Amino acid sequence: MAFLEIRDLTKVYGDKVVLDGLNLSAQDGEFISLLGPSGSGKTTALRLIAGFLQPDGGSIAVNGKDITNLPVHRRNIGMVFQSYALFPHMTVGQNIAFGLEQRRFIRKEITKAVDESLDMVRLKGFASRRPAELSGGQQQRVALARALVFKPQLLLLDESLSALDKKLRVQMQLELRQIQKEVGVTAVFVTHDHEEALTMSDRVAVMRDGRIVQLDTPSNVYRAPVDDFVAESLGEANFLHGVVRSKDGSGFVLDLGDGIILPVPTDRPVQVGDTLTVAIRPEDIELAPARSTGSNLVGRVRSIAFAGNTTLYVVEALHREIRVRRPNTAGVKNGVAVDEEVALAWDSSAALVLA
Amino acid sequence: MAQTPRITGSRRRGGSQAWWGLLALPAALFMVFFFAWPLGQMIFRSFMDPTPGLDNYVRFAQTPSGVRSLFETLGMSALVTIICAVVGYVYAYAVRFASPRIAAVLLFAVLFPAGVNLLVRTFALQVVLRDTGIINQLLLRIHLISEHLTLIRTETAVALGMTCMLLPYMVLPVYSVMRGINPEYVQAAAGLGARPIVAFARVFLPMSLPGLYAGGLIVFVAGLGFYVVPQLLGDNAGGRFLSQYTADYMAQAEWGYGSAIGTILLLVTLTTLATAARVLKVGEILRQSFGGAR
Amino acid sequence: MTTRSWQWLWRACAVLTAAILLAPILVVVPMSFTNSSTLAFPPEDLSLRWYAELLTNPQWTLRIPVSVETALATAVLATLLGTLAALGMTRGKFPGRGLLTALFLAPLVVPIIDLAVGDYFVWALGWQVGPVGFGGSLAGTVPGLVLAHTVLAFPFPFLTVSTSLTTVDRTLELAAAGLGANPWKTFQKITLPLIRTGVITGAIFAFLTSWDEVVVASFLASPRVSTVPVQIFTELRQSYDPAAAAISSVLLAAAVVLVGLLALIPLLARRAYGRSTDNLAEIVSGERGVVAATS
Repeated sequence: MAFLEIRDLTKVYGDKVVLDGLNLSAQDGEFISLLGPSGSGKTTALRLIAGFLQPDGGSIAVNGKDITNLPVHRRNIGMVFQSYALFPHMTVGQNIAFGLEQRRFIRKEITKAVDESLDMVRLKGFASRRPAELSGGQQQRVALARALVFKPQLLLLDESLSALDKKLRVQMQLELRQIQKEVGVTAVFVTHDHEEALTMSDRVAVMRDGRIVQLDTPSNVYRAPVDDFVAESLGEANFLHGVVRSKDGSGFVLDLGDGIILPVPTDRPVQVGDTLTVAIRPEDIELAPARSTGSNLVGRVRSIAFAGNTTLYVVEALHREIRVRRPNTAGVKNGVAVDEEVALAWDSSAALVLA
Repeated sequence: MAQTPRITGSRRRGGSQAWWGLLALPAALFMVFFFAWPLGQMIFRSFMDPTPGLDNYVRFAQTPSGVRSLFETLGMSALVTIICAVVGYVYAYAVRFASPRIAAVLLFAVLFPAGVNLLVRTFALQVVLRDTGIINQLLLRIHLISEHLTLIRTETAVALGMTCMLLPYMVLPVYSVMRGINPEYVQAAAGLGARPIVAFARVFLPMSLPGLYAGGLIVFVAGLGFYVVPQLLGDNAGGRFLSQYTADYMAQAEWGYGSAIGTILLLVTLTTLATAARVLKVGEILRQSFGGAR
Repeated sequence: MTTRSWQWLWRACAVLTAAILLAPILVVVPMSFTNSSTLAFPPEDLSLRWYAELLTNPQWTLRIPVSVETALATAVLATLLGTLAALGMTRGKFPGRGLLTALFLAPLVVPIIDLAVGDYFVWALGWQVGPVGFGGSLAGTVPGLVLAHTVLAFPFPFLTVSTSLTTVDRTLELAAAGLGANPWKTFQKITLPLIRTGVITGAIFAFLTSWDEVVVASFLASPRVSTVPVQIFTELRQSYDPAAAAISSVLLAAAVVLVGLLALIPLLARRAYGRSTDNLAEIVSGERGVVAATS
C-alpha cells in the first residue's frame, strides 16, 4: 500500500461537483504535483487532504492510517499557503516554534529545532525578526521551515511559489525540492504553472473538472500526453489530425491530407484507417527556406514575434496555423521573413501520438 | 535655458496645492470662533469666576462628592467599556462567521438603533425597567414576584443604558478588523496542530486586538461625557457623574465652579486620548473602520 | 474553526444581544396608540389620542418647526463647510494640516456638556477680548441653535466627503481641464458627481445630529424657542406621558426613513457606476455608523 492513498475522493458544492472521485497514491518521499487550470479541483483536493474541508465521499489514508474524519489539528500535516499565512504578531522564531509547542515539546528542544530548521532554509539569525521585515523569498522559506519543523508525515504546498517573481521562483523551485529530498517528506504540490510542475515533481497529475486526466512522470506527461488537453496543459502544442495509411514494426505513416505524409515511430497498437491526432511542440519544429530541404511540408510565414530568448513564427500550412518557436542565438540570423515560403521539419520522434 | 518644463510643472502644482488649502479656511475660522472659543471661555471662567485664581479647583478637591464623581465617571466608563468589549467581541465574531444574509441582519440590528434618537432609546429603556414597567408587570402577572423590583434609578440601569448606546462603536471596529484577518491564519494554526480554542487564543484573538483597542477607546471616551442616560436612568441621590455636576452647578448659576468641573472632564477626556494615541496607535484603525467606507 | 455547538452558543449570544438592543425600541411604538393617560403594555383601548395631542398642544406644535428649521439649516451649513474643508484638506498641502484636522474632528470627542457650557457663555455675551467685542444675543434664537449644532455636525460631512474624495481619480479632472473646462466647471461636472454620495451621506448625518441633539439645545433654548428633544427630555424627567411615546414613535419613523436612505445610497451608487453589488453585509457595514457617540 502506498504512503498516501486517496480513494474516490468527492466534493460537491450545491449541484456542482468540484471533485469527482479522485484517486491518487504516492510513495514515501515522493513529490507529486497537481497541475490544472482554476476550477479543476486541485486546490479543493489539497484542502481535503489538509482537513480544511470535509469530503462528501471517499477516503484519505496516510501511512496506512485513515485520516478522512480526523480534525485538522490531529493530522500531522505540514502546509505552506500561497499567502504563507505567517502569523504577523509573532517573530520568525515564534512562528516556527508554534507547531512544536502544540506538540508539547520542552523549551530546550524547541529552541534547538527552530535553530536547525532556520539553518536548513538558510535564514540563520533571523529568529527574532517579524515576518513583515522579510522579503517574499525569505517569508517563503520561513513558511517552509514552519511546516517541516515538527516532522509532518505529509507536506502540502498550495501554489506556494506563485507570489514570487520569476527569477526568484526558479531559484526557490530548486531549493524547495532539495530540502524536500533532504527531509524525505512526501509532498503534494498544487500549481497552475506547468514548468514548475515539470521541473519539481517525481510525478505530475494533470487535473480537469475534478478528475485526474493523467498521472505520470514529467517526461512521460510531456512526451506522451493522453489527449490534447494534457498536451496543451504542459505547454504550447500544434495538433495535427490524419488517417493511418500504413504501418510497420517501428511505427506508422499518417496521411495529413494534401498529399502530406508523416512517419510516426510508436509502439502503440494502431489499425490502418484509424483517425489519429499527433501533437508537435513549437520548439521541436525547424524552419528552413522552402527549396533548401527535402521536406514536403511547406507553408507561408504569417507573422514573426520576438520573445526574448525565442522567436515565435506563425506559419500557415495544412490549412491551419502552425506555431514554431526557435531559440535566438547571438549573431545567428534565422533568415526568414514574413510572407516567405518555408519548409517545416522535425525529428520524427517529436510527433507525440495522443490517445 | 532658465526654466525647464519640469520646474514649471512642479511650481504650478505647488501653487495649486496652496490654493486648494484656502478652501479649508471658512471651516477653520468657523471652528475657531464657534468651537475653540467657547471651550476657551469655559476654561477661562473656571479660573476667573467669581475671583481670579484656583479657588474653584481647590473647592473641587476639597469636596468629597466632587472627587468621588471623578472616580465614578471613570469607573462607570471603564465598566461599560469592559462589558461592551466582551459583548461586542462575541457579537462581531458571530457576524464575521455567519452567512452573508445572517451577517447583514445582525449588523442591521446593531446599526439601526444607533440611528435612533438617544432620547427615544433611553425612554424605551425607562418604559421597560420602571417600577410599573414591562418587566415588573410581567413578573408580577406570573407571580414570580409579589412586589416590584427596583430596576430603574440604579447603577445597573445606567450601565445597561450606556452599554446599549455604545455597543455599535465597539462592534464596528472589531468586526472591521476581524474581516481583514485572512482565514488562512487560523487554518495554518490548525494545520500546525493547534486545537480550535488554541488557534483562536493564540492567533485570531491577538490579531483582532487592534479592533478591541480602537473600540475600547471610543467607548471609554464617549462614556466619560455621557449625560442624558445617567440623568434619566440613574439615581439622582447617588452615583453622579462629572457631566451631571457640571450641568447642576450651571443651573444654579455657579458659572465658575460648573466651568471648573467641565474643564476637569475635558482634561480627563483629552488625557485619555493623548495617552491612547501614543500607546495604541489607534488612528489607523479608527480611520479604517469609520472613515474608510467604500 | 469552532465546532458546531460552539457556533450555536456564539450565535445565540448575538441574537440575544440584538434582541436587547431592538426590543425596547419596538415596544414603545404600540404603547403610543393608547387612549389611557398612563403607559401600559400591551396598550389598552387603542386610539390616536396622543398623536392628536402632538398636533394640537402648543408644547409640541411650537417645538416641531424650530427643530425642523434648525436641523435643515444645520445640514446645509455643515455640509457646505465640510465639503469645502474636505477639498482643502485632501488636496491642499500646507503647514499645520495635522493640527487643523484635529480641530475639525475634535467635536466628536469633546464632552458635549463642555460645549454646552462654553456656548452658553459666548452665545449670550459674544466674543470679547478686553474692551473689544462683538456678537452676543444668540441664546434662545434659531440661528444660535444652528451655529451650535453645526459645530457638532461638521465632522460628519467632512469625513464622508474626504473619504469619497480619496476615491476620485484626479486624471478625470485633468482631462476635463485639458478639454477646456474652467476650475468651477470641472468641479461641477466632474468632481461633484463623483463625491455626491459622500455629500448626501454627510448631509443626512448632519441633519440627524441636530435633530437628535438635546444637551446643547437645552442650554441655549428659551421657553419660546426650543426643540422637540429638549421638550421630550423635560417630559421624561417629570412624567411618563403617552405623548412621549407618540413623539418617540414619530422620531423612530423618521430614523427608519433616514437610516434606510443611508443604506440605499451605496446600493444606488454602485448601480449607477455599474459596479457589481456586493453582499448586503458589506453595504450595511460600509456605511458604518458615523453617528455621534454623544449624549
